[in-house]
Amino acid sequence: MMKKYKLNKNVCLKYDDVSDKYYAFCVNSGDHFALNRVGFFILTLLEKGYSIDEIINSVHKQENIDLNICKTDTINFLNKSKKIGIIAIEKEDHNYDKKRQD
Amino acid sequence: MEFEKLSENTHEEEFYFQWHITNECNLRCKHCYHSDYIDDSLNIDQLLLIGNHLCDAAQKWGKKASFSLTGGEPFSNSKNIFSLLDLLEKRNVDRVDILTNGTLIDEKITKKLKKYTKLRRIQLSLEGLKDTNDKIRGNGSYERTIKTIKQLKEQSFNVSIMMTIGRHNYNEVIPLAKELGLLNVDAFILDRFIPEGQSNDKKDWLLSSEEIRQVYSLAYNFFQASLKPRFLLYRTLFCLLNPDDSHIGAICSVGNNALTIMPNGDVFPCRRLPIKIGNLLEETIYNIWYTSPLLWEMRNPENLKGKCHNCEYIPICRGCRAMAYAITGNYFESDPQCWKQ
Repeated sequence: MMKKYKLNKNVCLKYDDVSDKYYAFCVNSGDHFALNRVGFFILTLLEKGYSIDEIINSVHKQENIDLNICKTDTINFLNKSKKIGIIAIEKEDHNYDKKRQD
Repeated sequence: MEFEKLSENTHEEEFYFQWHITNECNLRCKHCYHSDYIDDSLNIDQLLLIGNHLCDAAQKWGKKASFSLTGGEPFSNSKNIFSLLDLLEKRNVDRVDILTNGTLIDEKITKKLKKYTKLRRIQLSLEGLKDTNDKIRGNGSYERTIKTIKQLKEQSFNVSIMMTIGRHNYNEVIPLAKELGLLNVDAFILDRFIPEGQSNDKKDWLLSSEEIRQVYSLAYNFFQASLKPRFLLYRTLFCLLNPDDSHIGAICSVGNNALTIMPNGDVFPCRRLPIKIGNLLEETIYNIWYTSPLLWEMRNPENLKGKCHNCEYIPICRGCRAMAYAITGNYFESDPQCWKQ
């Protein structure tokens, strides 16, 4: 069973090209977080509706890193993001394991 | 893939809110940027809600909140301004200024204001010596303002005078400064006249860049020679006179560390740049500050046009975006009054 994450609707992602920094802004609470480039990339894909598998594959391709490490790091990042309220769990994807086997 | 929580959103220590709490005004100054004086102020509950929200935001951002309460004439509804002063006195606010025409401040109000420890300064306005001032602000207004200055100084308030300079009055900057020195006025502030609102038809009052250079030079010379009143020259373009003097000049605060709140809760990037970027009854200050396309555009000096674009003083100036907007319709154009070649 796999979780399906979504970006919290009150979160705004922003790349500031002046400072060359990446941010996630919570427009309700005022909290704001500095992200690195890969974290920003992950959240941007999540905002576009990508599944976790699609995100992992995209990061794997873009960063040219080992797929298993990429998977672990991405899921850790998503869990941390959920903990601080940047993302929420939309629904459980009960077919995840089956789809993966297929 | 780490991220870190931030406590600050800029490198500035202060966050400045210029809060126009009412449109009502008992004067009709000819240079005023207001387009109407209809009272669409919020009720006190709404004002207090916004006040608390702004204080919360400054706290969240790790900033020192500073407020200027103004109008219209903020003492048109003295109950509201005192309720807000009560709130700001209790909150995480560094300092409060009141920008007023001073004509409604009587002895009772003066005494009542004494208890506010965060009230740093009361700013009144004069536009020159008596005749010139009264042509702009109305007959008798000069004497009334002088009376208020004396009343406030007797109670040891920090008093500043704002003069909005244009072709109609710029030759009276130094004569007025000398008068203010005799009255023991603490600070003297010059702002450039911008034709907007009801003064939109007075473009002939605009000074040329050379005239601005001349009057700024005179003010800077006075500043270097005299202690009273202290010219506060923290304005764009002043840095051109002496880029190495950190006591003069300022970078435009739009998108950096300031916002203007209008009587109905609308938020402007600056009072003189009258473009609505949100409303505090409908959304949080965070939403406006983080997502306004105009603010993000303003934060990027690459967007500046004309001679401002490649100017060596971008880190300390950037010109007045409101002036550029009022004159050219594009807030990224060069400051029309900049004299740098």
